[in-house]
Amino acid sequence: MQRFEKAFVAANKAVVGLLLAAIFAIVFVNVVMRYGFGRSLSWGDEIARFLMVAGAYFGAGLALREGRLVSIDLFQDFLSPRARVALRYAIAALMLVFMVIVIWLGVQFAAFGWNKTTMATNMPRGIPYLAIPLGAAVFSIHMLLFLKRFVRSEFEGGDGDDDQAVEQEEAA
Amino acid sequence: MALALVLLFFGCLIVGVPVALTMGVAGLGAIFIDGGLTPLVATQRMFGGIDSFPLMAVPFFILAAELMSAFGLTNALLRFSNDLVGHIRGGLGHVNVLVSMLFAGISGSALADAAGPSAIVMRMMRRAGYDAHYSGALSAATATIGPIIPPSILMVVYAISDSKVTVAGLFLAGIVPGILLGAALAGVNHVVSVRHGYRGRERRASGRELARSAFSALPALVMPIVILGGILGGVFTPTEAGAVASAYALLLAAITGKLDFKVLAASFVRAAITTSSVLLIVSMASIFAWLLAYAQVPQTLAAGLGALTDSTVVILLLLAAFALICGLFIDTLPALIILTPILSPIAHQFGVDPRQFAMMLVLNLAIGMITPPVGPVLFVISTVGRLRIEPLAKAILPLLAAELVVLFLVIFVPDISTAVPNFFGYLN
Repeated sequence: MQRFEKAFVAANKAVVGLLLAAIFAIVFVNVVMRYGFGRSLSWGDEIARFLMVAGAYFGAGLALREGRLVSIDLFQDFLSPRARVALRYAIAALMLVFMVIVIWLGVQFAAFGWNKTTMATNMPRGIPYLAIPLGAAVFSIHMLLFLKRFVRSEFEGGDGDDDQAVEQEEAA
Repeated sequence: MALALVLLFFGCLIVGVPVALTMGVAGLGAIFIDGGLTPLVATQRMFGGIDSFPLMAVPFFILAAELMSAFGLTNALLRFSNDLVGHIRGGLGHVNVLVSMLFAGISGSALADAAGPSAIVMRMMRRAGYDAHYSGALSAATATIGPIIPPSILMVVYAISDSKVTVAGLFLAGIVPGILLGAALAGVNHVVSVRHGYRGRERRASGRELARSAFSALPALVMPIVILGGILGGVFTPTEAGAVASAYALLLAAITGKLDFKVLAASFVRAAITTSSVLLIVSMASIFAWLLAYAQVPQTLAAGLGALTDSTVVILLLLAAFALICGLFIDTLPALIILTPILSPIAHQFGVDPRQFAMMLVLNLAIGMITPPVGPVLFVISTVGRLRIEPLAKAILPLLAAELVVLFLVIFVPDISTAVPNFFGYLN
């Protein structure tokens, strides 16, 4: 299970990194082409937009793991540790239910858009719409794998390198 | 509908559901309770709310700042600021202000500033004998300059929520308020330093040292000029400017031989995850904003306010007070997306310049980032500096007062927001 989780996180990170790299490449190449060659890729803006939406939803689970989905914990801080964990289980359950509904609605939405086409590339609108249910599914898997750490607020990724930065600065 | 929406929203928020999902849960919940709408409206807004080319400036400016920091340019800015103002009274405090202003020219986010250069200067100040809470408070306050001086993520998001303004126009409008904010904070730092006897560093940097640090900071100092110059010259859109800025950072890294695949890959992944957490809020908040419009909340509110007064300044003050209170309890980005479509039509109706209103709201909510109970920048500083919120919030009061003075200036003097964009011909 742990090996699966590690691989899943690594693959997810690779996907969102590559999506960002792709939208960067498309937009930058379009600027260069406009000035260098007097023309640009007509599909560029549209594909870049769709990839951005996909990146936003595919990265949601990773943001959850790193504690980047900010919440207001003031009320929780008043609770006893046990009550706090219980409340966070309830919050996690609410988030999961929401995401499962989003998967369900997202699939319907994609089906609804399947016989309409997009402006520039004429692909079925349902294809970019799939980013939402797929992203919600990825988020749900992260939520389940990460559940025990989520309820104890043990998020990944530290900010431990700040001291190092100061030392580098003062050494310079 | 509106009642269910608001109750669900605050209920989820208080118990500690992540802010992004709070708005999704409240929106979807209200749709189910109301029963009159198809729930597909929610997914349509989730997609449509972020399917926007102007919004793509957000990932690009996050990426550009990430690359700049990864390849050492943020540190170069810090060294340059220290050589420039480190020797005057309260020197490190002024370094804190200056580096935030310079960093604001490459980054559009207060949180990036708080976790980056501001956090570093905070530690430098503490080692130099400044009060720990004052160091933290000043670092938090200076971080709010980030979204005022262009580029700015908040202004990009504002511009997609209000069709009467453009990203370029808002970027230009932010220059003077941003400089005023820096000057106001430097003024408070001067007074505090005199009272507490904080000195500058003992030795003034020699002309040669200054020239050297200026030279190594030059690539980062040039970046805002490239971004704004390119937008103003009509060479590229703000979104493309973000991509060009990222490419520029990559080019610099390649020239200086610092380009390393591992660092590069990590920067892209970090920027992608940060982008995701921002866009998720924008996406979910657009369900919320759409439902408020559907329930005709803006019209109701406008009618209520119209009965109170017909003075432009009074309306602006009332809206500012309302936004300030919302900013206390709601996180910046969701507050911006929710309030813009509600409040901006009211402001326009009463004859407020759209750019001035945008500056008022963005500055207002940026101030909300350093006020408890919900002050994200304050939380970052308190975590990084291991400081308790209460004394930190107390230490920030004089700085907060200075920021409010700037907010009042923006409200009373429209030219502060409109003169620069007018000069360059950006009338919206």
